[in-house]
Amino acid sequence: MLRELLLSWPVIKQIQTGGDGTGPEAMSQRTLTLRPRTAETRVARSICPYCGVGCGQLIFHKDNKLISIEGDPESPISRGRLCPKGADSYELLTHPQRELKVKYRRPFASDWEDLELETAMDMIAERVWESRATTFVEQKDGQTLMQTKAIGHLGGATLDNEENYLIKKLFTGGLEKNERDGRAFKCTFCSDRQQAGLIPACAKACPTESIKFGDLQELRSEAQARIKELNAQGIQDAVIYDPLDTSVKGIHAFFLVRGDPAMYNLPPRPEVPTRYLKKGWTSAALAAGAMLGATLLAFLGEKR
Amino acid sequence: MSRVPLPQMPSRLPDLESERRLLEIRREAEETGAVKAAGTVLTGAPFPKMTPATGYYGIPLLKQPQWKKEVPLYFFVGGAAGASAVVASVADLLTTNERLVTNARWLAATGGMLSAAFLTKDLGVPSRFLHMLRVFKLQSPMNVGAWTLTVFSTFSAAAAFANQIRQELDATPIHVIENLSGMAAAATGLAMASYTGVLIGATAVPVWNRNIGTLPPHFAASGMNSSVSLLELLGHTDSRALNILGLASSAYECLEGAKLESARTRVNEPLRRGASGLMVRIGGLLSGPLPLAFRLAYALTGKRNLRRMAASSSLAGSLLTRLGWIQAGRASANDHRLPLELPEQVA
Repeated sequence: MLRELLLSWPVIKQIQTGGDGTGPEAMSQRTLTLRPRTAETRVARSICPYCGVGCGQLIFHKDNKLISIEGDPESPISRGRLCPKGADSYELLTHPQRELKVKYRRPFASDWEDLELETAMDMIAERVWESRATTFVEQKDGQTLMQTKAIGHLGGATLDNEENYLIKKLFTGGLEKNERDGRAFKCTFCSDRQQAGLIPACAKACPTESIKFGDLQELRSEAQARIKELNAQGIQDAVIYDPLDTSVKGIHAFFLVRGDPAMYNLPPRPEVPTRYLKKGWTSAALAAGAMLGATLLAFLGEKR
Repeated sequence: MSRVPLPQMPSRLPDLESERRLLEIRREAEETGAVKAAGTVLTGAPFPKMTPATGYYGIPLLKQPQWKKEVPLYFFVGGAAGASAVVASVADLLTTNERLVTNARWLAATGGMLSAAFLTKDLGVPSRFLHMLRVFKLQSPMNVGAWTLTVFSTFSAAAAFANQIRQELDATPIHVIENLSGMAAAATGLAMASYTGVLIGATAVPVWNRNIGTLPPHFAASGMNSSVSLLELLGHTDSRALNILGLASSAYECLEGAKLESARTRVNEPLRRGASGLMVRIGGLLSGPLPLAFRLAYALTGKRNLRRMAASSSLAGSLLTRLGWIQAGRASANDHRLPLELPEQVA
């Protein structure tokens, strides 16, 4: 009894092992048996739900309960990294204050009430459609306008990517917001920022450096350097998908993928469908000529 | 001022060792469905295979054509109407067979109007047809087709009505209107019968795209075949010229069929296999060899019933050909292996 008590005293262990007092001898029984919370869990591979980059995530779970979400070191996109938002995906899912019901405050009401998602969606769609239908201005002073000023959105610096995405998509793409000429832009490559000598916000903000902006040739050589880096790490199957030698003449983006690009439904030789158009029209003209000629010949022999 | 050295932080970059371990875990999980050595167990194994042989989990690369029955029906009706306009004008020019001219003019006019109706139905909202006419885009076969159809249906209707008036009131201005409208209808009719081949050939669907050279004459011959057949079923079984045209177009359809059967390329597989293959093959049989045989038999025996049989067979074949080609396009778009240049699936 006394012996066990003595042996659990770290200094005894230190004398026994001759350590300097900072090694395993200093650890308590509890510390020694500590295991990471991801131990003995099951893992599923997933993709981060936030922006369009698609960083890899490992979802650790046990007994149908989420344990942790970590970056996936095997992802060729993010190499195990996650941005602050992606790294907090665990809290996004498990936070006790996470709202699971749609909240609605009636006009002049002082309290919030819960709504079914379906009901809320219908209400929003109805209101947007009605506002747009009753206030849309197509022409003003003889000029095409195509706008409505009746739909607005209140926001601030704390809006997240998703809200900004929705505003951008719905209000410019879906509802023709541009007040001057009615045109809709999904992305201007941040022309305002570029004029001020800055790079587009998405490229600037991307913590995993997956969204890049710059001279195309420089980006291409950067991609080549990255391939070399991956090869040096023992990843031999990384390739760049950037088809230039076909009728599409490049796809305005290039991807670094592992394995055959066909595995990601990226065709080895994408072609524009109209590449044979001239052949088609020639053939149609010949067919029309033959048809006319045959009809003329056939009726020439007919008794008058 | 002394500087406190920063502690060495472990790099977050995965090293070769951890990459290798993950690869091992993954391989073991894929093969056995579980991982024994590591402290964690991979779930979901065996994973769905995403290999060069299967493409992206076997999900088709292309979207299927969304056309309903209206479009193949339009191809059929428009082709027959276009060819009828040609027959009407040529017969008017070279023969005195007034009844044939009148019937052909009305076939063209009715077909033109039906075509416009089918196309408008396909567009869903009628005003969209007008939107197609906002500009003329030579680079878009669909736009060229919309203009062709508009001109064709207008002038074929004008020619038919002028023809009708002429029978009551024989005056030179009516003659001129009928002839000019008829020629405009015939000129656009030639395009009506053939452009549909270019239309589907200028899409990404492989079986259409690769056959863009053969589709226009194929459809043109099919259109002429059905126009002749309709006229014969309307009672023109005494016209030698119609029989010659029927013979010629059936012979061309035989050639086309033989060509499709002999060119055993992968891209043409939907023309031989499955529901689309059956439709194209039966359609080819009904519009090629069968009417050809009936017409040759008529030339020998002079029995007009043989021509009516040839006509019925050709009509059914022509319709089935169009339906079959559209169906083949659906099957072709569904085959992800073709655009990805993957080997054919081992059955």
